[in-house]
Amino acid sequence: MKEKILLGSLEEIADNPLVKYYEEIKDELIIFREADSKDIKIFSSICPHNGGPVNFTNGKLVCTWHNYSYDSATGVCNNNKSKIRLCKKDYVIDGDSIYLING
Amino acid sequence: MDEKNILEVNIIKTINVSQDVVRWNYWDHEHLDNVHSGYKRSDILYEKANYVLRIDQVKIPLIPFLTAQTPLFMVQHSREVSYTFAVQFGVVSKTTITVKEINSNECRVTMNYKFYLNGWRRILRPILKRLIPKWNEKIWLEDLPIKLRRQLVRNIGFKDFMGLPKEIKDRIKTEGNEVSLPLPRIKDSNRDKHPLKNIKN
Repeated sequence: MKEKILLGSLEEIADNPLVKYYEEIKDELIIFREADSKDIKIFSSICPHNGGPVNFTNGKLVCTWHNYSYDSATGVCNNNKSKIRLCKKDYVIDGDSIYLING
Repeated sequence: MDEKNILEVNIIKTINVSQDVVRWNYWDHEHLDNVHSGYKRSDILYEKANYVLRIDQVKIPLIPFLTAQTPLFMVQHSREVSYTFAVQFGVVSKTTITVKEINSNECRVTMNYKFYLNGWRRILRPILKRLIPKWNEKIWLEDLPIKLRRQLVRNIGFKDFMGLPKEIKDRIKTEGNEVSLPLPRIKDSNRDKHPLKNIKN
């Protein structure tokens, strides 16, 4: 059974990405609008390499600990030959609110 | 060799993370130039399970556009103790890090620095005596959020190169997730690009 979890509002991601730990899913998420398409994307912001924080700056998803960068559409690591990728999350928008679809 | 030529500086800190997390941070060679503003580059020349030979390019204080090459040999002597021998500006140093576990989420870190200041190097004694605690504090504060986050993600079951467990119910602290040296790196890591490392023979 899929459940909806309130993540935040559209207003919160108007200017900057929203990075927040959600106890309900025991994960930290990054919610942002892609630079070109302005599509909303949601990924786990825990870098699968060593657990560092993934930020979205200058149109790129980058881990600040080791500079691993990820494709902002797919979450695939794109600056090395590893097969690691960020976990992408499904969401719905209801009014001004962004909900995670979990399950 | 005269012991009176040795400058010794001792710094003790406690931190709310496990001993394993502190040890991981010391052996995480890949974060140095991303996290610490005083590092420009770091190359690994050789490593085995409990030791590494590394060359760091460290920015010179007050003139950061200039860097000094610092060869260093780091060894995990025991679970609690590691030694780092380095040569910087002709000064040989030995750093002893002792990490004592207070409990599974707290430990005490003793950092002992020894500099061998013979000949003209004696004039560096007052400078180093003042500089080392400041440098140590800067590095400690730059590393602090890393160690705290590392503890946090480990407490929800994070594993390197795997991420979090798929099921939310499995996102709990698991035993047996200890640091194993050397820390694994990806095949084309920036740490492994020194020509002397990659040349055959």
